[in-house]
Amino acid sequence: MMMNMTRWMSVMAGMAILSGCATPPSSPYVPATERGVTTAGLDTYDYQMVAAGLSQEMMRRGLPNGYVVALGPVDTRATPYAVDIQLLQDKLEVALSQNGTLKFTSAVNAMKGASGTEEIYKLIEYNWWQKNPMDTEDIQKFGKIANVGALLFGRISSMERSLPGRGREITYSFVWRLTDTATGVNQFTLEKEIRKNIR
Amino acid sequence: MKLKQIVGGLVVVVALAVCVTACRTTSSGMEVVSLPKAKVTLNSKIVAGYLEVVEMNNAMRGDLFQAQVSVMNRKDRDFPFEYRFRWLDKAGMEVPAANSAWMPTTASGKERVLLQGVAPVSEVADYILDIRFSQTSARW
Repeated sequence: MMMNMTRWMSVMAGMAILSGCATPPSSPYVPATERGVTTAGLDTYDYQMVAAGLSQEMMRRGLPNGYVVALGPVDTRATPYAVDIQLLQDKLEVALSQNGTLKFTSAVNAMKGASGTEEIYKLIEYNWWQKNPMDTEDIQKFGKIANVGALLFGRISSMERSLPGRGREITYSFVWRLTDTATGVNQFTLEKEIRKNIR
Repeated sequence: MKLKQIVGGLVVVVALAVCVTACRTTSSGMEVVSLPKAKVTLNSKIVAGYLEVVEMNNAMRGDLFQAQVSVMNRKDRDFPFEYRFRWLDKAGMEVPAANSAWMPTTASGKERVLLQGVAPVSEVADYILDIRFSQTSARW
């Protein structure tokens, strides 16, 4: 009886060792495309998803050819969470510029040393933040002075609810607009939503 | 009696260790390749048990390759999963795409979900679609 038990234990120990050997060693480096730790705030993975979603949709609709685009204002006041606007706009620029149809310029660089352009840009930004109708004349002026064919505007909002029991549900909404500076007409209005359940 | 308990405990520990390793694996559960011949590779019994590739469509959007794969949830329960398109040129070389990310989605019971991707550049002629089981906790 005792012998049987010992055999059993040896077999089990062997299996435990084998199952341990079958698992590859872990690495401190992980693919940057993996989800990683999920929090209520916006994570790198969220930015990747939004940039991928918005750029894919833009490509599906067909990008206007030869535009020089400036990354315009992004309104984040409708979310209490911190948003890395620069990172998001950069990811969007990387995803779109790979296609080669759009050329990008930085709105900040376009305005440097030109106080007139800066004033107009501030007006555009103010109107966007206040959800006022865009003044076509301002956009046209900005386009001419900054030599920009289109402006990419963004608005990020979030809605939060408590889940039954415990935890929270957060829905982020990203609305992006590409506005032609020659006509003031929106070439695209796109929306991408992300919903997260955090317990 | 004590030995029996020890052995029993050991069995449970081993079973748990194996289960935890298996449950944490987020390897590609299904791979769909379009050209030269449509090919579906199933690497996970869980994904294969739930999802079935119903239809594969390719189209040109301007000069960009667009792919659509319809998958259907065979079961009555919701199935959360992630998918990703990888793009290949005519020579079968991967075209790195900044707009390629694992996208989470859910197929409700018996629902047919259309997975779409648009290639970032005109050189793309083919794709690989990876589908994997979505986990609430990441493996890291």
